[in-house]
Amino acid sequence: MKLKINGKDEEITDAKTLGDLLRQRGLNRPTVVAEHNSVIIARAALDSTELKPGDIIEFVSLVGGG
Amino acid sequence: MTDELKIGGREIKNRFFLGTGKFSGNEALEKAITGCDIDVVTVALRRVDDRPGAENILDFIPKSCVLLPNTSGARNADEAVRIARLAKASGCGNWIKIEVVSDNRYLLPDNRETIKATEILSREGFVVLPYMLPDLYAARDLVSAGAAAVMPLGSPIGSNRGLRTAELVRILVSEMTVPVIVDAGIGKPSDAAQAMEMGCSAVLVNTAIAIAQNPQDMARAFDMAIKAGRLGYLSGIESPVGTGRASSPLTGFLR
Repeated sequence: MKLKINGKDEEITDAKTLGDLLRQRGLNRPTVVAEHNSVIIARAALDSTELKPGDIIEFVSLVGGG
Repeated sequence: MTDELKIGGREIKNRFFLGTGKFSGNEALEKAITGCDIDVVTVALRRVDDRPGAENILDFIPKSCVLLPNTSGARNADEAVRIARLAKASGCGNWIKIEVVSDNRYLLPDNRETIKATEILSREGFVVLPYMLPDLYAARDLVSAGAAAVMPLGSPIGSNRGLRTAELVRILVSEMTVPVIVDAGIGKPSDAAQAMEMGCSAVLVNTAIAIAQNPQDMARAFDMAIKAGRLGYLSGIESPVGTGRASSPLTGFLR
C-alpha cells in the first residue's frame, strides 16, 4: 500500500501497524513521536494503530534549536 | 542575598538560557552547557533523521536541565499548537517556547498568532514562554492568556545586532508581572549584560555561542556577563547626570 511518510510517498508491503513500521525503520525509541493522519499516537497504541492506504505518517524527534 | 527566578513553579538558578542550534557538534554543545551549569536549554522538533549513526541530542544535555522546546517552523497558531503537543509527547516536559514566524526575511514573530497559541496551550497545562516583538499591549495580552514569561527579541534571530529594542524592552520590564527574557539577536556578552542591567530576568543566547571559534569559552563569557549585569541591576545602578560630580574630596589646601 502507498503511504506518505515524512512527506515522501512510499510503497509499504510488510507493515500492518504503525508499530511495525517504526521497528522496521529502527525508530522504536522513546524519543521518536509518531503522528498518524495528524493524530499523535501514544507509544502504547502504536501496535493497535493499523495502516491503511493513503495514510499520512510523521515521525519526529528533538534536535538542536534556539 | 537570595535572587530567585521561578518559572512554572520551578526555580531557575542560572539566568543564562542556551539555544542548542547550529553547534558544530554535540560535544561542543555539551561542553558549553556543563561549563556554565546551564539550567534551561531550548531544542526544536524535526522529522526524524533515520540514517544509521544519527545522534540523539538528548544524550548530550544533562538530565538536570529544563528542556524548552520551541515551535520553530510554525507559521500560525495552529501549527505552533501541533508542534507543542508533539514536543510534549516526545517526553521533554511541559515547557514550550512559542515561536510563530511567517516572515522569512526578518524572521519576526507574529504577536497575534502567538497570543492565540499561548491561550490554547496554557489551558492545556503547558508552561508557555512566548517569543515576541516587544509591544506592551501584546505582552499584556500574552500574560492574560497565561504566559509564564515573555521573550521579547533584541533584534532579528541570528543577526547578532544586539539589543536594538532596548527602549521597548525597558517598558516591558517596568510593566510586566512575569519575567522578561530577552531572546534573539544577542551578539556579544556586553549585549547580554545590557539586558540584565536593565532588569531583564534572563537572556537566551544561541547563535553567538554556537558559531564562535571557541563556543565553550564564549558561553563562559556570556555566563559572566549575565551574572555581572544581574548583580549590577540588583546593586542599584545610578541614573546618568549631565554634569561632572567630583569623586575625590575637594579640600582646599591649594589656595
